[in-house]
Amino acid sequence: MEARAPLHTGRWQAARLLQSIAVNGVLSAVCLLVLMPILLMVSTSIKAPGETQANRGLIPRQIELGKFGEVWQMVNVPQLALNSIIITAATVILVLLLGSMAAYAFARMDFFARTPLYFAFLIGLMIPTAALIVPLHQLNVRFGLMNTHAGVIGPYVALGLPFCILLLRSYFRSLPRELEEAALIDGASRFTIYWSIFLPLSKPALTTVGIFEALASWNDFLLPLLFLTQNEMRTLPLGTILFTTSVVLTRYEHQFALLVMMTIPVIVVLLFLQRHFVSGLTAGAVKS
Amino acid sequence: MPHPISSTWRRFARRHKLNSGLLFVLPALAAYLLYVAWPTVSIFEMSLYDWDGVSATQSFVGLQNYVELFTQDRAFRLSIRNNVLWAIFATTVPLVFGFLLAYTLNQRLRFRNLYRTALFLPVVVSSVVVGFTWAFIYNPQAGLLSTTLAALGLRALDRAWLGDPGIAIYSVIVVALWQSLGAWVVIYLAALQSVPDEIYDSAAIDGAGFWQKMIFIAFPLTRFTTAVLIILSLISAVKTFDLVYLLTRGGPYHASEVMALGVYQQAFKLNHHGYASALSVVLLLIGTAVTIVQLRLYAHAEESHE
Repeated sequence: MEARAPLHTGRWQAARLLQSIAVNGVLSAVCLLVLMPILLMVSTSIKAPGETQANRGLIPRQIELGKFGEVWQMVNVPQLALNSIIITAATVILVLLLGSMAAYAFARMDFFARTPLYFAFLIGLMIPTAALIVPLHQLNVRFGLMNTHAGVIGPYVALGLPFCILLLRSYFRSLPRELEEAALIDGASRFTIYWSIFLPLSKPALTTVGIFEALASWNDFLLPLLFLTQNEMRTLPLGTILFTTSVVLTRYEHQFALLVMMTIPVIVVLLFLQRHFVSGLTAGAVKS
Repeated sequence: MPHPISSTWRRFARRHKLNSGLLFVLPALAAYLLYVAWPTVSIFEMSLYDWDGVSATQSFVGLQNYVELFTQDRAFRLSIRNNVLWAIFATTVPLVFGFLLAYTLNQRLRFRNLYRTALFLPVVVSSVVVGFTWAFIYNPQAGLLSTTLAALGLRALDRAWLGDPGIAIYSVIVVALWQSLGAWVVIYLAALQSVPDEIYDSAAIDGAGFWQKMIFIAFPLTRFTTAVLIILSLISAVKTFDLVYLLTRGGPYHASEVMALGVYQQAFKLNHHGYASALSVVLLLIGTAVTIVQLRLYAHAEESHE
């Protein structure tokens, strides 16, 4: 075998090169096709106002960026973004805090009704938000939480807990038992162990859950649509829906400019934290 | 010497494991009871009433809402059909193409991470952005899809993509497939990377090529991942709301209706809160049925793993 190999090296390399070109060509074509709607969004957003009427294609004839500033003020992007940031931040912090505490107990302690409670949380993974909107609406009306941030944060937190508990419980269980046994002998309380040993060691898992919850609440529009009806309470997706369906301004370029602005933070997060996305997605789906 | 009552209590607490573990779970449990458990119980109760959501009086109608739902509601029948169609396409199409792409990406490729990021991008983009952009692409005559068909001389294939009752739901499902494909690729890729190279090498010595290694080695070895992906897709097919709301609002003539959108419309557009609750119960029960399958599979997989 070894003796014959050099004779074929040239032809083998040529075949290898051809194969590589073919594979990369196919993959590039598929990726371009997948990215096409996103490219179309960006290209339409930088076209001159009104150009889209005549040119719906991918290549802009003229580039005009002034409309980003116009849209920024017209839709009051800072206000919308502030609402989105408040809701997303509160949701992430509360889900991580409440979820990690519960997950620690489920992973490491034995207590009354542990297994039934854990399964009760797991069932929440399945419950479609839409199935609960009627009573959630009533709840918010009764407690005076309509048009408050709390009115959407509460449901987001409760609906986010199952995934958080599922993921963190299995992460905590993978940490060595010696960690807490030594601390328990030294007289540390359960809370100290959770707070100063388990949480610091679980940063990767916490980041993964955090990104997921952040993305879900940042992008959601169903609950804001129902519970945030006043202008100054609206979130970015909701404000975007209203702007893109309004009859006052039907210029595509402006509408796509808003969509681009809304997408930029998400893409930045994706590019910098892709590793955590992948580990979150694969947490349950890949057997290690 | 301990107080007799406190020692009785302590014994009781120890026997029933009433310890600080409960305190750890309590805050999460409180939020969960208020925003998930109580609403869940509440839809069962409300589904037995006729109520507009505002007035003080609710009239008890027994199972009338359910009877109406299953015998007279055309939109509901169409929504069941559409959720089933959604589930079928959302599990089969990404299964084939997602696996194929992941398998291709699992070789030594210089731009692998670039390809992966590109394919994954639609997964994180907000549905609002996705919906608006695709409505623009689907625009009859003027949209990119119609103009591309015209440029290719295929004008005969042009349709009112979102306006034709016969194809509206398929047009929406295509967008959903576009949105989810990247997640399948990334998850399959992670699973394929855990398959040791030696298995492929020994198959190559036996003469197996690209396709044979894919079908007879890679696919069977990642079957657990396939099972989980299918379950996750089934769940999201039951839950689906965003894209239908954004692209068609369930129209035309309820042709692209899905169950979650039906709840929203019955409750908040038509003020049928009791009827919407009955629909919610059906949605919830279908969802739970899928969950039970999921939990069984997880338990089974963990068992065989340990």
